[in-house]
Amino acid sequence: MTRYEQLAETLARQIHSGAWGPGTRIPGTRELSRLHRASITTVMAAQRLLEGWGLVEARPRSGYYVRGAALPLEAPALPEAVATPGAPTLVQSQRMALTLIQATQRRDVLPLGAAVPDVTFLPVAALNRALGAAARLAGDRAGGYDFPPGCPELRGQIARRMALAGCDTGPEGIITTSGAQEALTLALRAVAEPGDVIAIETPTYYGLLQVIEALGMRALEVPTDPLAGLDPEALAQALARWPIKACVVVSNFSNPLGCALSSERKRALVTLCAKAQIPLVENDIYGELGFADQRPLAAKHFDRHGNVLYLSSFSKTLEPGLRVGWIAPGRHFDRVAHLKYVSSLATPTVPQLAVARYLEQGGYERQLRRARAAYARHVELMSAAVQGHFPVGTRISRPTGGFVIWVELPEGADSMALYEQALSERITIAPGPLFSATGRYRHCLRLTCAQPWGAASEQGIATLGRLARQQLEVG
Amino acid sequence: MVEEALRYEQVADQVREQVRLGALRPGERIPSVRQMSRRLGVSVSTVVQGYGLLLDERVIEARPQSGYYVQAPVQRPAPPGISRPQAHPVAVTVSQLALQVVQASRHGARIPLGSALPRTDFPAVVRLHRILASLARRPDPRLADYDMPPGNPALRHQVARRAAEAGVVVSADEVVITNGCVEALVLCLRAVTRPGDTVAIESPAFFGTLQSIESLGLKALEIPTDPRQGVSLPALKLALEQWPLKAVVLSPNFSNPLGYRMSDRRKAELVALLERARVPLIEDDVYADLNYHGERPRAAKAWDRTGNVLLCSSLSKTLDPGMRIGWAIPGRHTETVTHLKMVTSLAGPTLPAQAAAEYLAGSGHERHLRSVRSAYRERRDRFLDLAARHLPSGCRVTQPEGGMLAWVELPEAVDSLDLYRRALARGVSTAPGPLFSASGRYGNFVRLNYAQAEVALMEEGLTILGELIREGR
Repeated sequence: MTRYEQLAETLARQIHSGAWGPGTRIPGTRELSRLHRASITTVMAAQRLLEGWGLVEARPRSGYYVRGAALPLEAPALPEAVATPGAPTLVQSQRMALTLIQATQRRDVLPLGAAVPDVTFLPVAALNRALGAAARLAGDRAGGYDFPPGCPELRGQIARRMALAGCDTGPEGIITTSGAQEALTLALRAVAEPGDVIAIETPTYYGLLQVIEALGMRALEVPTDPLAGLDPEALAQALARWPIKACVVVSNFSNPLGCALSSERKRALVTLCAKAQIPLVENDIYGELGFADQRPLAAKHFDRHGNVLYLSSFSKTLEPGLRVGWIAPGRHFDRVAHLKYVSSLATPTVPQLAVARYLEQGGYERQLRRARAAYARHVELMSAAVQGHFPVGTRISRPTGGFVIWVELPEGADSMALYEQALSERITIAPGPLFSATGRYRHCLRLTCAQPWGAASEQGIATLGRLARQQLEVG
Repeated sequence: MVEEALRYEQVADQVREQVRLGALRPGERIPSVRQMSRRLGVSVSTVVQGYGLLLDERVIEARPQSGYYVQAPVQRPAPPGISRPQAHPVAVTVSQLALQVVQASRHGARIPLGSALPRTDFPAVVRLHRILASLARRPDPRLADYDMPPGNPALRHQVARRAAEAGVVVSADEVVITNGCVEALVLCLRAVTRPGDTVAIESPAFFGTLQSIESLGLKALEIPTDPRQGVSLPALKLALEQWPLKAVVLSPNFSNPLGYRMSDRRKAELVALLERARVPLIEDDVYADLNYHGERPRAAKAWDRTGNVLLCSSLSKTLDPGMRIGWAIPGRHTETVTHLKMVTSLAGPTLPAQAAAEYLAGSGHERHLRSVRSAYRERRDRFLDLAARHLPSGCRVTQPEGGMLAWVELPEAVDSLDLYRRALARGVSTAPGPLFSASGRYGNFVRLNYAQAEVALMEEGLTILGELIREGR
């Protein structure tokens, strides 16, 4: 970590511990330079970083002030849970998602649509050093393919991460993949066939719906509580009624609701699936981004039969462009390894070596602490802005991890139209119907909070609020 | 161009036919270039091209200051005959053996002859990794972000630019970057088929392709294939009439494992045939840059006028397999393939794609290819000599004109799966024949890689194989 990053962290800790209250001026540049024996440029870089994290704001010719808590007097109402399960549906028309993700690469757009963190939250410099070293290493040692299960050094490091989630899979139970998306595709292909019914949460992330669509499977949406997550009771009822072949769940900080299953629910879910003999696919891609200090357990922790196919990636925590993910497929190991081999032969070597190296060096925990604090803060800022600017009656999810919020507008609002209108104002949002196989959530949208917070964000939210209000007035 | 291709191939055809009929015997001098030019009424350069083809095929040899002579076939093992696969579609059930075989080649075996891995000790590989390392120091936030399908624009431009060498004129918009050639093939197969459909393949065929077909729930129809000419077009025509084929998967240039090269005339015929039948051709072109003589052969897609050919290739065989840089040029299926790429693995890794783009934009790749080609050609010659010396008589070996793989037919009594196990116990990896068939054929064949192991090791490996084959009879 560089000197200015260290300084920014020290100051962030002081802010969090209440050394300076909201609205208070933090010591000036010269004073900080003297106090911390740091150069003026270092202090200025640290201040900018703090600003990017949303902890302070600059006031011209005055200095940096701790941002107002912006905590709403009253917590916003939660979105409603879907009460009734639907019938299995063929998933279709998920092509809009590509537009959303592509918008993250445009500089003239405020990208609140895709769940991609801005690079300012990512340890790009450290990772790039690791990538450089890995590239030189791979250039020296004879290349060749990292055939499944993949790079041994990386699988060793991943096994350690999984141990922190309560999983004792070990390196020999892990297969590296080209991101979580490939892991998910492999998992579903390993346990189900075209036409089969897959039980999913609702709302759920479009990446999952796309895989189900592309594989010609059918989705069954199971009622999901915005705070407690997927309801095992509701799943039991669905199992009794439909020929379900697999269940897919984001156990920790689901996308878009941001809720985590309690340990009891995880245990109940794992037991239920084992008894019904249907595989449980657990996506834990947000598991390390909880706002609390303790990383929650994975559902796989409760797995005694190898019935849980656990998958994750470093796209949300390290860098999306790396495309390094993994799967621990339990007793489906051989089948998944084989499918990986016949679908893409191997995962690129250098990014795997780089992540292994980065994890080995230490610093990942520190990075996670920093990201978690920043995301908690940004979710708070975004929620407050939405509450301030959106129409009366708007409901907002209360995530306990991750970096997205789910916003439910009053009935009558149309998020598909809002998407188009927002796009012409150079803002992207993820409209609700993307998160459903059955076209639900027309009046909902997802917003990404992992963007540097500033006047432009506040203004963007105000614009969205204005557009939504206009819709309701006209309607 | 097709006309020109026709003429020089006619020259070669005529000599080949005369040799086959015994009108020209081994050691006999064939007509000089000028004589032939007069006799057939074609240009001198056409004859030179035709003779070049015959030189490649080792039908004739050149003797300095004397002329061209029919080559004596004694010192080299004969190539295997045309394949006679099962005449109906079968569900593919190649076992998980394949993954074991490739893993053994990478980790288990002291003498790796079983994989299709290239040599990676060329300076260009180091250069590519240096570019990657320097990119990692470049402060560009786009290099950390997703590189969404169809993939890095600069790399797509380079792929499109290089495709012209294969006679394929496309814009960067028609290129989709993939995680190696295998992903390209799988995405293309998924774009044009549904589970339960039947696809035609050459026989023997690369086991990875067979397994991809299996994993997609498709049935494979194996088409008889000549080790020199490639897939039999009359047989393919018959199959098209007889079966509801949804795609044909071929590798017309230096196929794995046969190493044949289809002539331009036959490529044109193939493309026209499939266009008429409205059956897409999925072309695996991954070895085509590794030609030992003359120009890089053209891809079948060069004759594609309707977007019916989906071309797949990668840098894995020519540069670095670990980088996983592949691509598809899917013709009129480009949009579908792009979408499938996104929903299957979202994106490729950003930095390697940019590194490959900058590497290809530089001037060194052609030079690199030249050194790979000559290195592999030399290895091929050493391999054929060593095979003739160490393998028992009755073994027949292909004489590839490109790539890095030889297909060896063993005496009928030898079981290549058994040979695989016994050889592995002595540190030699091989790829047993049954892997290359959907219907369990080629029990007495093995595929050997002559590029990867050092020559001394290769000789040791062939000595061991020779012993084991004699024991196994």
